[in-house]
Amino acid sequence: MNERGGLERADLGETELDTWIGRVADVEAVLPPDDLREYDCRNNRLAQMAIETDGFQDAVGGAIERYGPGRIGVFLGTSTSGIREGEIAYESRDPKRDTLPEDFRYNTTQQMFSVGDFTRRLLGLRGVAEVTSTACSSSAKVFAVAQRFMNAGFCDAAIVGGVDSLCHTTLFGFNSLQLVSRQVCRPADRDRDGLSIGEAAGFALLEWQEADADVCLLGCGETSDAWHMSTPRPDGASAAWAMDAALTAAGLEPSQIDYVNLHGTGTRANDLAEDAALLDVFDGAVLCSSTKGFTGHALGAAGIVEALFSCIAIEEDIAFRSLNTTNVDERIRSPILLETARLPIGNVMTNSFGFGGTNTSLIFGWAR
Amino acid sequence: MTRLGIAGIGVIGPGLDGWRDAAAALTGCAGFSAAAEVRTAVAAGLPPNERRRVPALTRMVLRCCEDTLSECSAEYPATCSVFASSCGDLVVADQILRALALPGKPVSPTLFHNSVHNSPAGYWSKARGDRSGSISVSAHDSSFVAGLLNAAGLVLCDAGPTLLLAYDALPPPALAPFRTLLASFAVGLLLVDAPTRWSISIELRDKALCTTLDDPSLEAMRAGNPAARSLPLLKQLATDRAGTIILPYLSDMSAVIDIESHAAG
Repeated sequence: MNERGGLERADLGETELDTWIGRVADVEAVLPPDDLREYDCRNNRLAQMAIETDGFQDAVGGAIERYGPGRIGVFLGTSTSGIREGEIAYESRDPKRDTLPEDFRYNTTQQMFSVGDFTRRLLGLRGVAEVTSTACSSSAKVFAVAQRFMNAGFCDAAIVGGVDSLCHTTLFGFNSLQLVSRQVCRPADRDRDGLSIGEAAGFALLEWQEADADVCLLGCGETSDAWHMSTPRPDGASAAWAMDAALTAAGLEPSQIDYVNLHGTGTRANDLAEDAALLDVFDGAVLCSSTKGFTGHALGAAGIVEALFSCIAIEEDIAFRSLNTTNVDERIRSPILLETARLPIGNVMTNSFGFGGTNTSLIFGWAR
Repeated sequence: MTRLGIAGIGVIGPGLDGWRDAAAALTGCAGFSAAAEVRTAVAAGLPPNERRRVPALTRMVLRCCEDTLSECSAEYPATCSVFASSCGDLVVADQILRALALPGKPVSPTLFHNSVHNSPAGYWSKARGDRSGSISVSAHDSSFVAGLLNAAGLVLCDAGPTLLLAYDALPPPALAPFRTLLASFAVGLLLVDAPTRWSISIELRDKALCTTLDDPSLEAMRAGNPAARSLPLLKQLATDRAGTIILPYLSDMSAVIDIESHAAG
């Protein structure tokens, strides 16, 4: 695999923020279909780009034939939706009258459901749809939400995914909390100094297991820290509880997990708290790494990106290195992969945590 | 579908101050004025230094959560939670967007963490010391039904008693022309997998149908806030009689809700 990663030094026009970002090339060239032009914004262009990649639209077409357009749900995660459009509108605010430009399309861009509505229409679906927005666990949560909707009979199959695009709100918001790295992010490294923000869109089609050749969602665990709005519980107790809940739901013992794809943002607090939780659950006996050195932290899209990393790990028998990490913080005691490893991978856990103290752990593995 | 029990209800809106007031207005036993002030609230359960940072909308949401649980006849020390809001906190969004338009883009860290859609969920879990799972969703004008489906899904999947809280507040002046809401409104339901005073079942239809309200000012309220789309359901619950109501869902669907009352006498 390409081990260079996708991060670059920020060049966001006038932003003057000294950091690294993960920017998806050519999002600007995507154009929504004529009948969906009112949804046009970077976030929805990114969504469309991912939908038109890897034959996903064809896979959905097949599902529509099997289930009908009304029985496929859409469950997408985003943290900031199309807020870039709001930023642009406020930049051209009339200061005297305190009014925004009349052509600002709030409801179809910045509004939180925009990407869910857009995706449902783009794919020609007519079933349940919603956006889950729980900060950086958003597009991990959608797997649990979709599973419940399918169990409850509200849909027979589900499009799950996440979309978050570069904007000033998150860059300067995380910067105000002193969580943005000046260098390229280096999760678990003793010299780490924060996260690199990336943008991403990812989608998956969930169906009830039929063939035994597929990678499956085996279990989900969701908890709350009940601790602080922007800092994780230092003892990782609630994160550990989410991991335990996912193991219980999957019917697996900790020793049956072959690799953990960490939340691993590269902030000092997250990486220590997550390690405390991992030690509690796995006692230092599971290989783990964060893939955010490759992608940056895609925030509301991080969950789907890392769920897909987890599926690739299983299909390809590969555990990814923690890119950019050279000297592991001596206080971190779980084995962090500094080199990509080829070994049999049966079950993978992936963690997603977020502001507001939201924790989600997912487990993927071969159908049983 | 398995029936779900409703163990508690909370309402905060103009002229609908708490479930008792709302029930009286919805059944025609009391007048209703959409012009009434929406009750303000403090964020009980949080330390004073943190309480000051809680935005007004979240304080209203926390109050409605407390009201919902206090209307229950049993104690529920831990519940999963579902927060459903079309737009989240637009006052906070407006403040951030103004800061980002200034030189140096001076966003305050508190504003930033208050801007996440799950901010009320974060404060609620902390105020209650409840580490149960929580989700925060949006489906634009259909956010109440989206929240209801999520809460139903949790209870049906054995996640235990689940608090649903749907809310939306009046946008600040700069955003008001782009997102027209009539008033701020919050509604809470505690859903359980056990017999209670009321039970409901939910069925989705692939037609855009809708139960409306006869009282013009209540009907305007219903149409004027995504959380107030719950009013036909609340009205039926307030009558303590069996019935069926239909809530619109997305642009081309609806949720048919069958209500049974098990009120003594």
